[in-house]
Amino acid sequence: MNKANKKWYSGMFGTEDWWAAWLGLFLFTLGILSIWHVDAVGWMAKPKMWEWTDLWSDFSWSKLIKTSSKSYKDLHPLMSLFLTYLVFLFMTSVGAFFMKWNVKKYFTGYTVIFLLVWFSWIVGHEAHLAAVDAVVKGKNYYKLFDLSWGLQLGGGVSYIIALLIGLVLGNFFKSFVNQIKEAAKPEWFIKTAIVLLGVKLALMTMKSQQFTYELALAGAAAAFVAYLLFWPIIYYIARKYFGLNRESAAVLSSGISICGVSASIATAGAIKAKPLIPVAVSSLIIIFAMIEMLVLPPAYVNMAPNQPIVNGAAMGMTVKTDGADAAAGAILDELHRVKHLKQTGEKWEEGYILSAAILTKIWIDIFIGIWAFVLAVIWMKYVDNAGSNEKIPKSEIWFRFPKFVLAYLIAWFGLMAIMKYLPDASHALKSTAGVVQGSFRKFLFMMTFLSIGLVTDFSKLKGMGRLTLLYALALFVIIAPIAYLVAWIFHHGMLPPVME
Amino acid sequence: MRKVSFTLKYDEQWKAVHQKYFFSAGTLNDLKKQITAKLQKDYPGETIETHLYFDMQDIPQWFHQYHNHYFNMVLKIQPKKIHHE
Repeated sequence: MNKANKKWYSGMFGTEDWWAAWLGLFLFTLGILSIWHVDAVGWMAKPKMWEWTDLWSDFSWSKLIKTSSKSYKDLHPLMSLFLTYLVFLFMTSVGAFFMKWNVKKYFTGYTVIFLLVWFSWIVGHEAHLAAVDAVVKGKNYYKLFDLSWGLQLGGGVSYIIALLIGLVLGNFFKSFVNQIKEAAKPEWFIKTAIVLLGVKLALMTMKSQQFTYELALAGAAAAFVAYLLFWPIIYYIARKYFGLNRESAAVLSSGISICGVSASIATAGAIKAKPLIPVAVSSLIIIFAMIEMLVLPPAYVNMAPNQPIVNGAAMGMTVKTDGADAAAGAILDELHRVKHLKQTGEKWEEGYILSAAILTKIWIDIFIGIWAFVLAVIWMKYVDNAGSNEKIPKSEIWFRFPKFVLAYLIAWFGLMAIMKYLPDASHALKSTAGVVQGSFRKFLFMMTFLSIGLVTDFSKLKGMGRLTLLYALALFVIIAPIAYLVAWIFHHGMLPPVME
Repeated sequence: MRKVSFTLKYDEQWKAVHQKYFFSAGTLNDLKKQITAKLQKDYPGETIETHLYFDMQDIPQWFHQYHNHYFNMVLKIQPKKIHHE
């Protein structure tokens, strides 16, 4: 049984991309059942802010975990956590089964990753780490827990803890990681989470149409820059100064300048390179994406604290791979909001900065099929000098189109349409949609952070000195500054709304 | 026009697999030449549209989450010209 894409529906039940769409839409559908007064999502567990001396003196699970909505408030926190484990295990295992993975290995891997994720998430909510000395939704946890000191890092510290745990395991406990790697699928988790972010975008659009459309349109410019500016520059440098052959230069240029591993595979396919090339290049891309997601968010927040949306969009153009970009966007979102809260006492709404990072990347993802098609035609005619008897099927564009983006758009415009035409249901919908784009999405983000750490193996940089230098130069000297300039032109002055 | 579909594979060599045919070559160009020569011989006087579909199983499974398509291609093979002296 081969896995070739022959028909338009090939892979519909056999690829992570399609399964991200199915899972995302399933969770979205659970969320909109509230139209019929059914809360099918409120059971989802979420961590609470806690303080260790308080917990030590009087331990209770309810101090650590709660359900996502009040309609399930009588559910024991551990039962809520167990339900969360079971529901996501079931959903993702169905996907794993259809994708013909080793389901037994997936079960083990998922269970370990789930436990590590929740450990990180709960630890990251300890008040000395996360509480900020300001009033949010009528509460000041810093004062509430009577803290004498605190790092005031906000909720983003959970992401960093998950990432660090993943990195330590991925680099120092490799045989253990091999046992759980079947479930370490950062791109699958993040694509599902991005579908749920479509729900957030619908809520944002209902609140401020102008803001959302400006974000969406400016993303198109980002795609233009990535394909038509970054790519030729990096390709030229790779060929002229680093002596790379045409194929390697093209694959690496796409990886560095467009959207990471997916672009390098698409490009290698378009120019019919041996599949070894994108596989070799992808290790470099993944490691650099990790460095970018750790370095850029704090750098941007400190460099331009009053330009959060510029910073988000710049992140979307600079950080490669959807997973690392979304992860970097989530860290940036948290860091910005905490800094602004500490400085002004105002809390910006969550998700706007992250959405700026994601929307930019989604535009870039959408065009990958067209880009690869055009490149394939050019390569065939002018590089390979293939005769007129060879042609590139137009179906290539569809096969390369990211299907999870369809689900993202359905969630975005679907929810908007429902809220517009069923205004009576909008109050209940806002609550359950909040769980879908809040607790569900954040859990998938946590799974992504941990998985990225697990799959990043720094030892793979060995022997890649020249390419590493090219990557670093391209990223920090060319891509990051130009991306920032473009983001600034389109977004300067835009701010997320303040929480009521 | 006759249509022939191959599964394209890569395992240090490019391979084109069909129920009736199997070709293998170090480069894709050599593979295309082999396919062309054989099909022209087996179907003289016919134009053949040859579809080659890359089997994603030859790309490590872990990469499929990033991108799940490599490439497909179509070769239009014209009947071999007979040279009269």
